[in-house]
Amino acid sequence: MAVKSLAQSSILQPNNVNSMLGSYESNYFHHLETVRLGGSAASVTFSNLAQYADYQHLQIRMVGRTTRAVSEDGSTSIFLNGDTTSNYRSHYLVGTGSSVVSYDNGTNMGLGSYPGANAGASQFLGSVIDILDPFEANKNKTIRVLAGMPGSFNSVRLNSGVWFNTNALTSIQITANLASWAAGTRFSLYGIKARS
Amino acid sequence: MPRKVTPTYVLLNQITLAANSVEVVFSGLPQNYSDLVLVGNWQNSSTSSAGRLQLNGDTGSNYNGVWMVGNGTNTASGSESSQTSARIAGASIGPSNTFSNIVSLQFMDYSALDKHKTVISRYGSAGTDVQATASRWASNSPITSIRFFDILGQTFQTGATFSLYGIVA
Repeated sequence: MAVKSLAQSSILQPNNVNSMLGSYESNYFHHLETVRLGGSAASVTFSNLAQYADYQHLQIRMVGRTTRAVSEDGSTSIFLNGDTTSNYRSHYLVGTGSSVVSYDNGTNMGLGSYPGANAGASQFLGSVIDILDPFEANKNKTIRVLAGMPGSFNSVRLNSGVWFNTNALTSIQITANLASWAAGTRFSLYGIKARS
Repeated sequence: MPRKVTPTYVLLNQITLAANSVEVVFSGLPQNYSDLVLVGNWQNSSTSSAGRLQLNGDTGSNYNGVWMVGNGTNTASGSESSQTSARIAGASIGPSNTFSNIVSLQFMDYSALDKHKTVISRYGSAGTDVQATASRWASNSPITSIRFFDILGQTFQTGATFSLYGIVA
């Protein structure tokens, strides 16, 4: 027995959705920008982030694949404020399908593995990346990631990363270090308000 | 020029079970969002349970999964392929009156035509364990319906909640 079928509800009239709800959702989580690649690109950058300094946190929702001729491309990175030096540190906790392993990614803020060009067709890996307190000038900048995909390789993982710099965030560059992000890859940036 | 931002994370529907049920179905999903988020708080009729989901009513062998679990003592990871449904985190939540079992699922690019559909999920209960799961439905079709059920025939218990949100991109 189906408990509920939305086919009989007003969900088919999305213009009415906001009006039938409270304002809580729409006031605190905002879509800011999206890049959806029509062709490949070595990196994608969200810049001029100072305009979003009234948000407490940022979130990037990403569905990605690279052009590197491998099934699993583990060479991906985030660079903040254009800093490509060794001012980062990141750790992974990964379920591989056979064991749970942990990595120290050294001085790189890695995003972990994405399917490469040799992965099965239409396989993209989903990631939700939270960037915490990006505009507070008294804290190093930290990220956390939930990501995963079963397929040409198996991976579900939690990442944490830090940039050892207290500057307010001005840009986020997401890079496929050894190739490019493939066509169809999506990067969406959101802002999350704090209660004033 | 004023910046343009779009309020999102819109609550599409919330189901609260008034009676035990063998399944919960969201159908007729709108296609004007990019991601869906499902937040569930449920218990099953037995710890011998295995919560699963099917998309668009597809009962073919098109689902794949990978997961990891930590229970305070041990860790484990497993995978599956060519299944007729997808595993979700928190797959073996039994009945309890003393703590909640929260599951969140992210349906990434659910309305895209060029991708298999990936679902990443987390489950946490301090009384049992913490889990993360990734599933992939090997279809480029947009997701129009989501069915939650227990493959071992258990029921979702009265009071369980399933909240579905839409996120634009």
